[in-house]
Amino acid sequence: MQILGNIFAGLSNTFTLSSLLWINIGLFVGVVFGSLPGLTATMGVALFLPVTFSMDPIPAMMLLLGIYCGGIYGGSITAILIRTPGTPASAATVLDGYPMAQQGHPALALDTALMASTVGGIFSALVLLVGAPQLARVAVKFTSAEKFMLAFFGLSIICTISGKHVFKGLLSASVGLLAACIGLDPIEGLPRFTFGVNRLQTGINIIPCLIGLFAITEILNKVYVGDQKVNEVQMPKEHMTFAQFRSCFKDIIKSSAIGTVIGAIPGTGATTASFLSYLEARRSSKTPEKFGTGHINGVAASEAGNNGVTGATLIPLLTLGIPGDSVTAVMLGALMMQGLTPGPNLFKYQAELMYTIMVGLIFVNLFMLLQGKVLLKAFIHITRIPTNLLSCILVVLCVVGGFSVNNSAYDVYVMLFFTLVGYFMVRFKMPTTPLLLALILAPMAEENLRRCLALSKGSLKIFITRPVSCVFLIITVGCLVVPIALNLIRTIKGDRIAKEAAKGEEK
Amino acid sequence: MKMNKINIGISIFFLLFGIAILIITPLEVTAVSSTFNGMVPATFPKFVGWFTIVMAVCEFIDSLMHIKNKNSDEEFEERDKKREGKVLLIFLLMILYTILCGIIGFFFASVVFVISFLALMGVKKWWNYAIAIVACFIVFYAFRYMLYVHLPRIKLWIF
Repeated sequence: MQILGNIFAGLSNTFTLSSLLWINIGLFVGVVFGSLPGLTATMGVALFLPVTFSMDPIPAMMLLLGIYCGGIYGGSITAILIRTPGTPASAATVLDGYPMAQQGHPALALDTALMASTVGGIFSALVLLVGAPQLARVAVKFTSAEKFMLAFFGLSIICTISGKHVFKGLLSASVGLLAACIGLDPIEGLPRFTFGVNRLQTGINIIPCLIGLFAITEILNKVYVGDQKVNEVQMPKEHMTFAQFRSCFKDIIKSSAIGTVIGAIPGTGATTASFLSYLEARRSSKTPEKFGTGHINGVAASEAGNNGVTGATLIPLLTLGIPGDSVTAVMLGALMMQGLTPGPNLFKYQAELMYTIMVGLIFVNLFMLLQGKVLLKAFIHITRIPTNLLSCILVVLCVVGGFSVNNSAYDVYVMLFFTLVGYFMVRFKMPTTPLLLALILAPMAEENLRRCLALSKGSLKIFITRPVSCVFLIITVGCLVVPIALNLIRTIKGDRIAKEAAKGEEK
Repeated sequence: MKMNKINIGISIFFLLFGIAILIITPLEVTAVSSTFNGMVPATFPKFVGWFTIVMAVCEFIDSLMHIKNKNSDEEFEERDKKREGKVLLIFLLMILYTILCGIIGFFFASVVFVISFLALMGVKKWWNYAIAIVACFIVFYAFRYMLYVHLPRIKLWIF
């Protein structure tokens, strides 16, 4: 009964003028960011974070959710029209979307992407609505031992998200861990690494850090690439028919489920979900040879897959306080700026807000369909905005973002410092997300480790004797060992192949 | 240049970084006698130092193994020096912009910044400059007077 009450409260909070307005503004902004190659949903959410500081939590979250969902969908527009995925999540859409556009069906491909994205997003949001409260009910019983293991597990995700560069990812995390040490220590309140500068006692705020890492670094990379001319695309009117939708329906639902499962696992992400969905649709198809040649099911599968992630990534964030990727890390920052600490207690003390976010996400996806149908023609022209003009306006927004945190230039300098760090990291192919994850999770890990060691009188057995903590420990060890082992196997295998090739050459 | 050679450079940099953390920690973290069962404020930073060193060594060994195996050695992306210089100039411009904000106020500093940025990027169309200046005004007005962010101003009318 209480759940129903919360859902109704969520519905009434969603259907206020301000929420609906911010949802639609967010979606529009998200599609703009998503459809411009080089600008990502993460960048959009990071840049618009300062706008939410003076807003109430509900409209603020509606705006950010709109940008997130719109950004993931928006990536498909350029993927289909100019063979350049606006976001990495839409890379799989290029495979069939672009050939469809080449064959004279760009509008049909875009419509299919929109329909599939909407279904994927709604499916994921429903799973979030059903699953998150149950998980939160379990998580609320966690003590400091489980909380530490949870943070440790979150940190171990770094190995997974680092891909081929596992050690580089961990080195990137070490910068985040050190940055998290700056300021007052979480238990005894003693200053660390402040170098006599009073401002450093408050520590490093994550907002300027993430704006620097994800927004300005991208802008600098765009400055390097320069303005790129995009040819105008002809768009004959064409819509997805009911028969076409029915033929794709099975793939859309299956891909939505794949996206949701992938999204709920921290450290995976929309790109993986999109490719896995595409491969599964091709594998189970009666005509797999059509995939890659402009097959409508290919577009539907990849788009349902990547938007299927949107709701599911919020499950670990809202219930456990663990951001699974860069966008959710930014969302965590947004919640913290509103004075809310993501985790199971939010469901206990801020149930109405949590349900509003979850119910709101369903409507964000419905409005995405509506906006997509009405504004598609306008969205196509977004690619013609001059990059240089956009970049300089975005820098101004970034600087405002830095100022907004504490109304001081200090955070702008912190932002510029992390821009430099981020630029060199990207240049030397070091992943930047581990740095942010470490910065967010390290204080939680340290504080809970020290608390539970105080309770257990210094004994580490506490992590094994408590069942939930022990399960997390096993998963964490798995997350740490498997990618490192895979990296080692890859190196050894490559070595063997090289030796065999050398032998062949000698013969 | 090969990427693995660059990776060796990165691992050496982080090795030194880890050593630096271990050296600085006792100087910059107050030593206390009251401990939470062995964990003092310096414990975590020291762990970070050792963690960095171990990972740097792992990266060093991994890169060495890759160098032996020429098949997996990807090229480090060489960049155009002129364009890289432009990026550096834009970054310096951002620092100057932040300093200027405190002197001539956010709006005027933003106008100087966008004009310099577009000129540096070789933009010739006047309407680009016009749109950028209008955008600066909208951003300043919206954040200062609608979202109540205390952006620096020089008290000249609304600016």
